[in-house]
Amino acid sequence: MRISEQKLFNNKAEGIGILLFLVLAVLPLVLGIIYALLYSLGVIGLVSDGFTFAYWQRALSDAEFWLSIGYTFYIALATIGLTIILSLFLSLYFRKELRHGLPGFAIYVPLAFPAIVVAFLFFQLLSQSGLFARIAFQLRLIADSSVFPELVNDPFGIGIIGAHTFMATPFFTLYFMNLYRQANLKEFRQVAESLGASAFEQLRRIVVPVLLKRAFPTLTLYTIFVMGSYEIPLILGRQTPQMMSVLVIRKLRRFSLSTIPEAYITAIVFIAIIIALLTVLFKSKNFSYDLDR
Amino acid sequence: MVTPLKAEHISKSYGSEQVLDDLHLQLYSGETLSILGRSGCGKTTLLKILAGLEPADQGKVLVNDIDIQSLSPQAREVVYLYQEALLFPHLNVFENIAFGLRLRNRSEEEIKEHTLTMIDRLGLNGMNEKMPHQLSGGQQQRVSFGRALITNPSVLLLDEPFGSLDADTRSNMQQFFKNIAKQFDITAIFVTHNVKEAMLMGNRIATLANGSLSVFDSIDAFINSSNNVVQEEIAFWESVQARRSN
Repeated sequence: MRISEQKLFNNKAEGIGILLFLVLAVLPLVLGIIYALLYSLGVIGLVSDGFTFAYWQRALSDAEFWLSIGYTFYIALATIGLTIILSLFLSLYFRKELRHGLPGFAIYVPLAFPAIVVAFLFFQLLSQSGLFARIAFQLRLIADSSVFPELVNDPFGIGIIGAHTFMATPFFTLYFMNLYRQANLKEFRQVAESLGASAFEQLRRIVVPVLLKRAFPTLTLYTIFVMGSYEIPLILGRQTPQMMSVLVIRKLRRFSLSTIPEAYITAIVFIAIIIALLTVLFKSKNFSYDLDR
Repeated sequence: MVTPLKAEHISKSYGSEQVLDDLHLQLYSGETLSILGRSGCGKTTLLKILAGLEPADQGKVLVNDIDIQSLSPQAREVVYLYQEALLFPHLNVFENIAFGLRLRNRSEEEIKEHTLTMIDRLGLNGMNEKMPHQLSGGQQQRVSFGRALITNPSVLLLDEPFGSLDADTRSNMQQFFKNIAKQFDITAIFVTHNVKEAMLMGNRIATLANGSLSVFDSIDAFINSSNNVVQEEIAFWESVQARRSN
């Protein structure tokens, strides 16, 4: 009888690849988290005074910290929600147009913009001294540029959501268009029609659920990406509330060294939330199944 | 008496290629008409036109004596079944079968009762919660049949429904269809390129070639016709018989 030995790696190249990934990508991350944890507990760092939970107590009782977490989730979910609506609309109603000619080219253009450029573009267009405010003033729609609605550096993060949506919509439009083809949705729609579904019912019961289910892992990962974004909320956000990434950097760079542990605590909590979210999602059968596909 | 399905002067071409040419067809209640034709002869196009899923260049399709194009999808009562089961991938067995009832806004109790009865009749007990990718090819086709039958359509259009199945499963499914056709008094068109399957499944047989449809009044009329496909099949089995005798 032949007993096959179970190997950790399929071949040497795979073993080296995984080892390099662990050393170059995972190890620095783990060391960074450990460093941040030790710093937040007062074990190491410039203000180290021995092991203490004082920084954690201070950070967790700070309203700004919780506001920042809520604000980060709000921005990410609003962005992804708007992106889904716009991308579905474009991919379902302009599918043919977006495959050829100028629209087909134009949809790719926003994908080439770095985040910082988009942030400045939105600032130049939407601020009270920006292009739209000037046009509105010239058209005598407003008496003074200060009357123009606050669309950037505003309390509701309109500018941040707008900029992120501008970047994400072309990507998800193209993604949904490809999924539509891959998932045989044209045939599924015909089956549904044959069973008595109107065009609206086909969208509601078949097309949209199938697209969202197949795109769920990518949508989730993009939501996490938005939660961790920095340049756009830095330029288009306001002092308070701030997204967690901006808050971390602000606390790290403050004149007072005592806020550094709080910055690390904010970062650790952010990482913990993301890891918890991913763990729950990866344990879900549907999520793993869709990733496999 | 109302005719479940009637097609008059149907023509369809793609560019310069004439796929269907002034075609006539009438289906009687409770019968299965097998349509035999080679790949690419226009069988699928014909079925899609009959189902109202594709417009004909000329002619009209009448379902229960009403022009199909004037009916909403729900009122057409003609269900088209593909070669693949094409079960909705995000719905489990129960929801796939219940799909047509949900479209018709039936009550939750009615949906549950009808769907569970159908699952039982399909021999799929205990599989309510399974997703399509967890089913075998034969099971998927059964669900596909159940999904079509639950709304009690006037006509079923079957486009080589067992074409992708292995020989054993195909044979089982042929018997399964015969049984449910009898049980539900189904009026159907069964498209295939397999002579044996056409004879096994149909009460009448038609052949589609060069855009024209020839309908035979009975299986015997088809066998006795000068149709090359039948003669080839008979000649083959006679040669097998002769070899065994020697």
